[in-house]
Amino acid sequence: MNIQHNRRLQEKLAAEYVLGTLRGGARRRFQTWLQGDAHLQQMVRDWEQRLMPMVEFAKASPPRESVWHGIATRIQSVQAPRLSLTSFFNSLGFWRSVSAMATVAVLVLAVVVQNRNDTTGLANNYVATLSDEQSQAVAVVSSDVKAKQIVLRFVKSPFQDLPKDKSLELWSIAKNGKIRSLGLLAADAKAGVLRISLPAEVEVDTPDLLAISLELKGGSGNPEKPSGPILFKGNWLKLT
Amino acid sequence: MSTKKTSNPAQLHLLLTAVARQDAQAFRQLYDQCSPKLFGFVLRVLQNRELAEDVLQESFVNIWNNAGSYQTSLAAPMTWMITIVRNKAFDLLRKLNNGQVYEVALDGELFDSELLAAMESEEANPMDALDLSQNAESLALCMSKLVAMHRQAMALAFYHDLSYSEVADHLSQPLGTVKTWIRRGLEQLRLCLATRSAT
Repeated sequence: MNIQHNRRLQEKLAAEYVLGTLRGGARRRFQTWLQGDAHLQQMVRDWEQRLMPMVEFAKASPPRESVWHGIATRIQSVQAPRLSLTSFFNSLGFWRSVSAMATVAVLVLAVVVQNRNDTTGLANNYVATLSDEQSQAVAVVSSDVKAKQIVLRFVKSPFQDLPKDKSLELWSIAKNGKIRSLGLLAADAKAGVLRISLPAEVEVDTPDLLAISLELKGGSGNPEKPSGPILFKGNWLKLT
Repeated sequence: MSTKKTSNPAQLHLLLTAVARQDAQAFRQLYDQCSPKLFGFVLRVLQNRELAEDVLQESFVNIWNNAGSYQTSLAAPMTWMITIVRNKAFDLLRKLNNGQVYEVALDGELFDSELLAAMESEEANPMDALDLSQNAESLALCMSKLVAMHRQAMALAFYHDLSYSEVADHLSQPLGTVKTWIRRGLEQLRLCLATRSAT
């Protein structure tokens, strides 16, 4: 059964999944679909938002103080350092302060890439270097205007240390601040080159910045906002 | 709407964001504000204080460890926490039921009386109010518009983790009828809530 193109069926299954009446094999199949489908994930979140408040109808009852002591003891014994998730808007601020050094590096790399690969001329082409917080370049991105695609070339594979339950998602941030997912990065991009077709509403000249976020497997679920931290980013610059 | 709601989503959001930075004080505040409501629910599901306390403890340790993955754009703070608590409660319930040793009383009628209280709490004296989030107020209103049996069938599934056939057994109705009731109920809820959020 193909549920990908059947919105009504998706809606029904998502509702039953959240309510809990979707069982057995049907539930397992749905969970498999859910892994790879950001829109289905959003549907599930919407149903959680609708139904979970039912919990609040139950009469509140304060737990005994001993419960808190149990929790406090448990969390104090867990001292392992964790990756702190930078909020998306904090990182927006960070991007604006991308250093001039990095911009120079972008241009140098970009020209090399364009000279090697582009046969259509440089006019109307765009490039970016995506770097981490230490300004270490991870990928060089260029536009392919004709095919309405952008091409990522990895300097070093971002998939190497990626946990199995995580995905990388590419984002366009336009000058007006509008954020749009450009899709998940396929982890099998072993060759080091990845072509991504732009969604209908994103033109090659739409992005001001490009960014890659760390997401749970299957992506953010919201095509207009990452849910995880931004790992790499870079300005999308027009070549003149 | 009362402004003294402890379940103010903006405030809970700030607390959860602080918890993500491992702010222990914020965590205590979050616990003080939310644990009575969450515990009331777990108690209702498990009907046993010791088991419910275990689930609450597990859930808050989980909230502490995973607050970093919380984002307000994706879920209201209360919804996010409820999802964790409900999953933990049902996990335990399933474990106990697999051993066939644990039985809880099923109570569709209790749900109706709670729903009534939830609806009245909007206008009630603040001292008696259930202190519902705005999402819960909307849900109460929309659920009250459903056919009573549709509503009870949904509540049985939601609170007691029942399958369609278990709900059908409990209500002494054919399986097909119960499926239709619940599906129709869900669709009507979706439409009603969409209208309310649009206004």
